[in-house]
Amino acid sequence: MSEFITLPHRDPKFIKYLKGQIEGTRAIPLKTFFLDDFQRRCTTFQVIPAKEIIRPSWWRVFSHLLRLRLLTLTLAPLLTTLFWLYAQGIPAFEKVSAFLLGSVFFLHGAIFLFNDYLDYVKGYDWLYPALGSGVLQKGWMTGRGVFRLGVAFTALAIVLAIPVFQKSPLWLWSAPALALLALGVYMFLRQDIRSYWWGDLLIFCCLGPLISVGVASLWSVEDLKVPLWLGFFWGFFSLSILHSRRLRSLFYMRQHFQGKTHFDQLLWRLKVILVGSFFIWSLGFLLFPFLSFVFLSILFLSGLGGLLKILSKVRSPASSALLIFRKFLLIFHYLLAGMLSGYFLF
Amino acid sequence: MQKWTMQKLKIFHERDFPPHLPKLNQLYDDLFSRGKGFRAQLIQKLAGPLSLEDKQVHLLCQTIEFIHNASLLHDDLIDRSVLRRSKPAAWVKYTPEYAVLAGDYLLARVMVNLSQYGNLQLIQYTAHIISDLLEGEWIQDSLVQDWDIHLQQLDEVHKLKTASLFKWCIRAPFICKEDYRKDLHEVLEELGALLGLLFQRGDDLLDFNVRNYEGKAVLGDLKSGYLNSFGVFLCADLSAEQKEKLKKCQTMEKLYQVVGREYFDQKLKEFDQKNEDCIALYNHYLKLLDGLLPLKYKGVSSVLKDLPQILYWRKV
Repeated sequence: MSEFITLPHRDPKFIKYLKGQIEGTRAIPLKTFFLDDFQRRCTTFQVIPAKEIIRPSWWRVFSHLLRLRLLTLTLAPLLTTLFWLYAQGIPAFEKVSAFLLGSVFFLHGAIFLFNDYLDYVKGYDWLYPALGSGVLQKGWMTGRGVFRLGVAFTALAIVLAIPVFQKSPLWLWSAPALALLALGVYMFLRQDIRSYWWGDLLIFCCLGPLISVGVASLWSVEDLKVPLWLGFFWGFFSLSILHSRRLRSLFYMRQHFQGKTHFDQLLWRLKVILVGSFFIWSLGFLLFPFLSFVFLSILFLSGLGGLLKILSKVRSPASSALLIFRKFLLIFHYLLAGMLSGYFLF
Repeated sequence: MQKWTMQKLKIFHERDFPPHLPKLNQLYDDLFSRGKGFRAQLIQKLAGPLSLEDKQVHLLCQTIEFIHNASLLHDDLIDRSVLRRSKPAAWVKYTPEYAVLAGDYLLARVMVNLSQYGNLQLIQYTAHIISDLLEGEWIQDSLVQDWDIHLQQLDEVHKLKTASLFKWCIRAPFICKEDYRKDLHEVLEELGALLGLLFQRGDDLLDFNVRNYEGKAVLGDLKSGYLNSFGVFLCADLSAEQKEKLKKCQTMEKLYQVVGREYFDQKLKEFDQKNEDCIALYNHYLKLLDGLLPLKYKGVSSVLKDLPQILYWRKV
């Protein structure tokens, strides 16, 4: 039988339970009362002996925590640009590429680790327990453990980035600066960057043109038409994937719904159309130079047909057709990353 | 455990509705005569420790039963269920149009009665609950023939549907007493939410002939293309092939053949354990509530104490 404890936030034991500093136990926050009254605010924890937690394999835990399924959002623009550079006869696969890949991987992980930790500690996950990676909510790791891992990932990202930035032009330093800006806005202002008009633009740039053009600039490529084209394609595709996740989240946020981002303000039908549109625009950017390749066109058009068929079954945010839609977008993302890379390579 | 038998409160009186619409009165007669009136009974039980007046008790009992039965009238038509409480559903016996109008009239009657009573907080809260109920019904309807849903999604739907009425039953008496303390109502809200969840999950088990003491028809939800909470739990570890076969089961024997009796019993045990954890959480919140209740209302905790056993384990 589970045990429960309700602790006021002013109680020193509260932060210990929250960060998992009580030896031999995991405390999972279930509900916070009196949110509007800081003096009286308290949280109910479910206290489970650590040995009773059924934790899956560490691979599965890290996969959830680091959102490995979304890794292609950061790596696809990078890898496809590297393969394009290679196809141009530029020796793109040097040591510095390995440092770049490693740095981006650890930065990707660090962002999600801190995102999970902050959502957990600040109480976002208490309002919406169904969201988040689930690692902290299920007691698979403690808050303290996730924070430490986030710090380690950040340190590794910075160390691996040093040889990259030694080679890069000055303007490329804007990339980590923008990432830090987004993190700072989230940490200190407690605002999702998508609530600002420039939020989606920032995401589009960071997961698209900034990476592809940045990588090309590392090798002093002057003609940036192809990297820019790749960047626009990946940027729109990433927006489509990230907003499709938001569609699903709305179901759980419904009862506390305050329309935090511009996307939230739209009517349901418009949201679905916007998500689909980002995807179609990305395909448009991709198809344009390839229209002469009938096979590729048929493949992309059948993807579009499949998408519209799935979207027609989405009757509400609760619908599992949304989950299928997201999986479809992700699988298509992997497929296109592989195909583009293969196209440039061969 | 205290027994839940009490005076049968007459919820519906012919004078409550227009006498020139005899079919309407006949429909309500059919509807209200067969119900157990559990929610009204809960209010009557809470009325004692809170010292509510008779007219307040009558108003609250009538309100909740009207809302509940309005939702049943509409639900049966939406789900195309031909039976309600072992008798033909209202839309079958009369017409679908009458069933819709009868449900609408009950909700309108609720608003008339509450506005005549004059407690604005009660009106606001009731309107909020009705909108939650409708939202839950809408979302639930979008999940019919959706075989890939998760228990978390269903819990969100049940929070809106079933739990709303239980939350109302627990909070409305305090609102009637003009006790509007936010901290008290937050805890009552959580208790109501858990009761609603436990009630719904207990009800969902009946559909799989578990603790089906009343001999209700089984697999009704499955046959309608709807996977209830135990159905979702049962399907969690099944292969795609087994899920396909499960969808087509018409009898429990067939279901046992598809999933295996041992698997079914194991899943039932896990489901019961999950809900025992909910009951433990409920008891924990009850202790919090005790700390917030003034001495004169302490009897409320003893009324609420036995409810999980009644609603989930069906022990009376």
